[in-house]
Amino acid sequence: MRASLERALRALSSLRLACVLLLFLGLLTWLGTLEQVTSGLYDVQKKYFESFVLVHHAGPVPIPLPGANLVLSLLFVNLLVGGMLRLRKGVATLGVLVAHVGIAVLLVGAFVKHRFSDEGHVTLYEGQRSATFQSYFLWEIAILEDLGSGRVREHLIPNGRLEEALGSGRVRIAPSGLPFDVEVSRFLRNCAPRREGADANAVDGVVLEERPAHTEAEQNIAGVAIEIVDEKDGMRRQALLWGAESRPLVVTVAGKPWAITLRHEEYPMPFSVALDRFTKEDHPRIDMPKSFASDVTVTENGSSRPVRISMNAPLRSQGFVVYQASWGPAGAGPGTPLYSTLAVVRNPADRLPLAGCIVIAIGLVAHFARKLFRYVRVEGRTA
Amino acid sequence: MARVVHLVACAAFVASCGSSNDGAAVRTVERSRVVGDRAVDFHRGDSTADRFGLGASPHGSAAGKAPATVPDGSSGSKSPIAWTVPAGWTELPPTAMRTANFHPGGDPHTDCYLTLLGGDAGGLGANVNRWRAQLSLPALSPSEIDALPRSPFVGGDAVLVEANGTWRGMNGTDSNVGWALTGLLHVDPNGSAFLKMTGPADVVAAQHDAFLQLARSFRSAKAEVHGDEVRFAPAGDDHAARSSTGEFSFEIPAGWRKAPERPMRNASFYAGPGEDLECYVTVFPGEAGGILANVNRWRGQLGEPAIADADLAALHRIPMLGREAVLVECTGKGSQLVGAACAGADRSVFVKMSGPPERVQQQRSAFLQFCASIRSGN
Repeated sequence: MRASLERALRALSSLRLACVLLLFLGLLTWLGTLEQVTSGLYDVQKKYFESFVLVHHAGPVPIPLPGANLVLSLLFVNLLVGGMLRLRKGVATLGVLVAHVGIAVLLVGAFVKHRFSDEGHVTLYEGQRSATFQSYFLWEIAILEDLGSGRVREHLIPNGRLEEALGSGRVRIAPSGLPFDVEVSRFLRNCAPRREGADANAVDGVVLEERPAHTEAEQNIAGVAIEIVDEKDGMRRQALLWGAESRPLVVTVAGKPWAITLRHEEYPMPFSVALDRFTKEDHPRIDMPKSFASDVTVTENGSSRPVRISMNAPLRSQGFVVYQASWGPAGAGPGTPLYSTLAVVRNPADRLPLAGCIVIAIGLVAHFARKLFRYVRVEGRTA
Repeated sequence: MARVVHLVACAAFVASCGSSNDGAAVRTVERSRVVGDRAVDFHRGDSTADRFGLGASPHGSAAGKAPATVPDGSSGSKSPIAWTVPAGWTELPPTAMRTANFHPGGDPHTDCYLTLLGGDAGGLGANVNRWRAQLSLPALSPSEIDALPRSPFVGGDAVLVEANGTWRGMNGTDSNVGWALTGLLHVDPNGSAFLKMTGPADVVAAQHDAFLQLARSFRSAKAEVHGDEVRFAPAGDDHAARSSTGEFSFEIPAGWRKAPERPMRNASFYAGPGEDLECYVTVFPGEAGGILANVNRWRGQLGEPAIADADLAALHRIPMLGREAVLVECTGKGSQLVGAACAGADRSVFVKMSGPPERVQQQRSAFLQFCASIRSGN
């Protein structure tokens, strides 16, 4: 038993394993880059870098590969166990040890970001304010309940539940406290509505026509076919929701109206951002923007402050980073009101990459400084 | 717009697995929050088409069922265009891009359809060579295109394209060896018409004469047929007549004048003094390819890149015809364009003004006022 454990630990801490894992990382990076010729960044990231296993198709030949999630997890274990078992501890290897700790910090930062961060955007015209931001890629069904006095309770069905209905899947969702269930019979990542009374999938004379996914996944507009199932009598009502619909579906169940809509997932921020002024400066005589910036008012904990967010000057507050990302509408003519799109990232490990790099730099500087010092000393003796 | 967000219970996501009677997996979701600034009308019961911006259905939202088929041997009675279906051909319901739609000789693998587009749709050469590329054939030079034969179609001599090759399909994903294409192109800056037949070479060859006979038969639905050849009025003449009898009413902004009638246009105006800035209204049956395709066609005319659905959704809406029209504004090639596009199941209405940027800016408010004044009927 003890021998088996030692063998396992030796294997896990071996340099050979580290080399194999690094080769796999290189291979995944290469294949993931090539895949972007035909697939978008979002899909490639999910397939190669956020998976544990994947199947890469080299022409007609399927090749199973470990995903970057698995490779990086093993690398972390290899680094940790190797550092404990194999690395000589002493003044001579202190710098290398510190550099390894820095690499481990980077890996931990990547894990935390992957598991616990949210990314999205808030898009505002001048005069608008928002305390939420929207995902670029993920969708949710929001069931809105009128509480009176302008207040609304949102019951949310997240993207993960909807994706279970991709292909031929069918999922029934029972939002807590509602008098009805929502059964999702079809989830389309990208689609457009079309009038078609004769189609078997038509609802109210309209079908959602599936379209090839855009390589830029944020341009996809999702759609769902749902059935609202009354808990009381089991009555079903079919409906379609589309990501670009102008108004929500309104149904009456248990004598009360409910508004149901499909939208990008929304996340709350601990502060609100109001766009006071958006400035775009073009290069002379062409429409290419030279710079653009948003003057916003940030309100948090009852107090407000003006902030200018520009391309390399983000707003950082309470674990959120707000960047100037883009503007629109595209091709707007002179005098057309412009909107500003601010990218928002909530990453609890926002500063870990910087910390990891500093630790690695300290370790390497210490290690090579010691080497240099010893070399100079030896050379001095021989001279 | 102060926002009050009370997070009552969020991010608590509990999923339990089970199975409903019909086999669907059952998930329980407990994720909710209370917000204070959602402007939701809980008493508005829109149809699906209205919510999706497809416009009001001519059949009413409850019925909402388009006819599944059009009987053989007739022509689409709802369309402003009429035609005579060749014997043995199967007529199919029109689609967004196909004003008339057939299986020649009843062969399910062979398609023939009429497409109407505003403007020159990219020009004659581009369309001829696009068709040839679909058959895996090299592009023709301008002189070779000039030398192509002509045949009667929509009141004039259209360019006739006949080619055999390997059919790659509209998306380049098919590979049908031994196919053929016969097509007619009437390309005009004021509106273009395309009639195209594709399928196995033997079927296309056998239906060649029937194809040309169909091409000669297109006419205004209201026109009397005098023999085979009738002047084509895709939308202009037909709708202009109805316009004057009350299909549309509108207020002409101060300083605007009516411009001479043009084919494919329902109404044309000189916007402001001079004749360098025109604004015109066109009406097409059905969805006319959809809003996005038409917006991108306008953008393409000014050399601007196409936009995607998401960009389209972000464009401003203005009131027109009791619905919402997409407002398109772009600048390029020394011109500026401002247009409004309003699609519906029965018809699609487009209002466009383009010209020198400074002139367009001067008349922009008048353009918006004009669009808002357009009403159905008197």
